[in-house]
Amino acid sequence: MAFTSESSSDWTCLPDLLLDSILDKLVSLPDQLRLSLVCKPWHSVVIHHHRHRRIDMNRNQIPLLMLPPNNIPAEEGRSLYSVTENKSFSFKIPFFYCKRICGSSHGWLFTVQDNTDLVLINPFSDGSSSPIRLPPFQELPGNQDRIPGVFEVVKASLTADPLLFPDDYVVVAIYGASKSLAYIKSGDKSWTHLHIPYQWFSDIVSYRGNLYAVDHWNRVISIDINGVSDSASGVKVLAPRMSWCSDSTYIVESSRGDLLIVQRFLIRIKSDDNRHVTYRFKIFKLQFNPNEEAERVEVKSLGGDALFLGDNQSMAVLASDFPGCRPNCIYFTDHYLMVAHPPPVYGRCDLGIFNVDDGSFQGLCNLDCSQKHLVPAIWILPTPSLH
Amino acid sequence: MATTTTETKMLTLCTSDKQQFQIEETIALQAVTIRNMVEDECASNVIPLPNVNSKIMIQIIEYLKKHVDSSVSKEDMEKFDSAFVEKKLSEIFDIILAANYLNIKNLLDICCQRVADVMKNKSPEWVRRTFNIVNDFTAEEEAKIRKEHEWAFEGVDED
Repeated sequence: MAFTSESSSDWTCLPDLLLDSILDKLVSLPDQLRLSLVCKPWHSVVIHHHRHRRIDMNRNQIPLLMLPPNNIPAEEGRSLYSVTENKSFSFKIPFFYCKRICGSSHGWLFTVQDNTDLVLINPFSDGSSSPIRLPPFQELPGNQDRIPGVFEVVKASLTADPLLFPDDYVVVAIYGASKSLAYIKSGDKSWTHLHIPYQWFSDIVSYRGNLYAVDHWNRVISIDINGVSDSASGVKVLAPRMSWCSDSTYIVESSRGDLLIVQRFLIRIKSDDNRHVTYRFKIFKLQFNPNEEAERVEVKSLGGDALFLGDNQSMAVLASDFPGCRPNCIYFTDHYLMVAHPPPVYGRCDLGIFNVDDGSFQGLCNLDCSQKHLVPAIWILPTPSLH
Repeated sequence: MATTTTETKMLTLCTSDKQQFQIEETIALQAVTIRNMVEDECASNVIPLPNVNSKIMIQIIEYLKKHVDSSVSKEDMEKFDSAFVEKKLSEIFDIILAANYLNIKNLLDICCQRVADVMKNKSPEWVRRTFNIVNDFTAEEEAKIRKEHEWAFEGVDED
């Protein structure tokens, strides 16, 4: 159908609320960013809409997959793959090249620079937000079994976006050979180590004001870090360890507000250079009891959600909010692996889509896995600074 | 004398151009604004709708008549909806304003979706032309925003 320009209606006079409703239907962030350039009134509505979306978790964005670039050296940028559009954008971010990214949370990447320092950068902010350099782990008690170098931190996560809440965010990290937990609040000078027996944690999530962590045996703990000075007193075991161990366990809040535990199992392919690939997922829903413990109930559906798992902060969206995104599917990428020590950095490509309904696996975007210099792909929430 | 047929209650809607439309109450009450007026008894026999003209009212009544029919399958209703929004953008614009005023949520939804679909993967220049919007950015302002979000501007549909 052809569109002709029609002078009878003045679209710039559309009430902001109604343009906002249109933006609600336009789920792709690039589409929204382009609309912000149409005219000034629309620009301000898009900015307002985007801010609101970032604060209101019910109107969340869908993450993009940050991949090695197609046509340019990895030092000069990345590709961004959009699930909803099934297309890649080339994204030039020359300033943040690093060998390892150990987390992605609220649009920020946890980069390991100069082999030791953990530096938070927001690749979408075009330099308008300065990187946040975190204190080193060296001095941390309980870090006798340090793994120096780029794999010291297994995974790190934020409780809030430092751009939106500069004085009220917490960084949580799983670190060291025994996968211990530590956190640092905005403004703190050093990390606080959490003394928790057995350690071996795999993922962390901020949920209803508390932190929740899960270990490789499906043990779930809650951590109250608000006003607790003694690092052990706020820790509570909600569900004990199970008898089997996974290669990775994730904890994620579903779009309905449930906590889900997802176990990921890998298999080694001898014929393919001993590459590890995912062959199975198990999903549990956490049901809280009145006595503040929780039961893990295995579920066979994600209730229409799609999950995004990997080195990033685990994320869930209701697929029907994002046309093109598949319901009851787990979109997974490479993640930290302890099978080799030190773990292989490059040339791993364990990414795909797992369909929970029928247990099938599918490929996820076209990535040439034969390239050995690949930096691992990671999910990231696009949070461009609009001003 | 008692009658065996139930009388269908009718409402009269009066548009901005003073046209009157007699429609069944059950059809009209799908519009929350009309329902509120009837429930609050602010409405006499004739309900004035000063923000809707007759041309748009005819289309809205067509939509409401279809949607009051519970015998229509979900699939057929979706077919109707997608055919309904195949209109000129200027008409969609007017229907959006009217659906917002009359508070008909689904109609507003499908019209907003239609506009969003038109804008998908298009350049700002194309959107300006199609929606007849004047670019009020200076060249410097435009260049700055474009550079900040450079990645989002590549690979759009041909103008």
